[in-house]
Amino acid sequence: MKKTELAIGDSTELEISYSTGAAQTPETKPVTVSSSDTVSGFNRLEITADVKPKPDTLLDIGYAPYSLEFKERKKGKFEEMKVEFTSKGQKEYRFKVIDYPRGFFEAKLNQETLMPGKMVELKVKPVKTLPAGTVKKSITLQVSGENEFRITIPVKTEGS
Amino acid sequence: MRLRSSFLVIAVIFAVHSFSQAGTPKIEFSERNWDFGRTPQQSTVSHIFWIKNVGTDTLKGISARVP
Repeated sequence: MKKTELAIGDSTELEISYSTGAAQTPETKPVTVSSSDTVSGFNRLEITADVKPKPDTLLDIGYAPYSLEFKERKKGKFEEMKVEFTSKGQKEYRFKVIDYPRGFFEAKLNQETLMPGKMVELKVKPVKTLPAGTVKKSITLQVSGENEFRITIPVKTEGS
Repeated sequence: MRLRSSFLVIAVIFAVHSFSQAGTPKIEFSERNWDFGRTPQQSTVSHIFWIKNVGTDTLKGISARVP
C-alpha cells in the first residue's frame, strides 16, 4: 500500500500477492481492509485462483511456458519473452490481456483470435526503469469462446 | 422556564448542525473481487485493487491483511 491516509477524493493502490503453493483446486482468499471508515461496513475483498498442476491438460489450448522468468542480460537490460498458446481442438477462441503490471512490464498479443490448429503469442518485455532486486508480478488473460475462462501467467525478474 | 427550554432547543440544533458538518470518510474499491483464473502451482501472482476516499473527511489508518 502506497498511502495509509487519503484526503477527500484521493486514491491509492493496494497490491495483493498470492502464492499458489501445491494447491490443486480453486482457492479463494479473503482480504480484510481496515480504515477509519466505520460507516460503510464493507471491508472485505476476495481473490480467487483456479490452481492447476503443470501441464494444464484439461484445456483444448496448450500453452508454454507457464511462467516467465527474465534474466538480466546487462545492467537494466532484459530480453523480450513470449508465451505461446496453441490450439489443440476445433474451437475458435478470443484472447484479451485484462490485467498486467503497468510500469513494470509491457504485454501484447500478436493477434486476438486463436483459430483451430493455430497459435497466438503473448509478448512480454520488462520496462527500462524496472527496480533492482526481485520483482514478482503476473499477467491475466481473458479467453472467450465456447468456454469462458482466465489464464494468469506469473512473471519474475532478477535485476541488479 | 421558557427561557431554559429555548436554550435547550438552540443547543440541540447547534449540536446536530455541527455533527452534520464534521464529515465522514467513505472507502470505495475499484472492484470487490479478482479472479486470476487458471494459475500454475508453485507460483506467485498479484493484482492491484484501487481504493478511493469518496467521503467528506480524511480516510485514515488504511491497512490490509490476508489471513
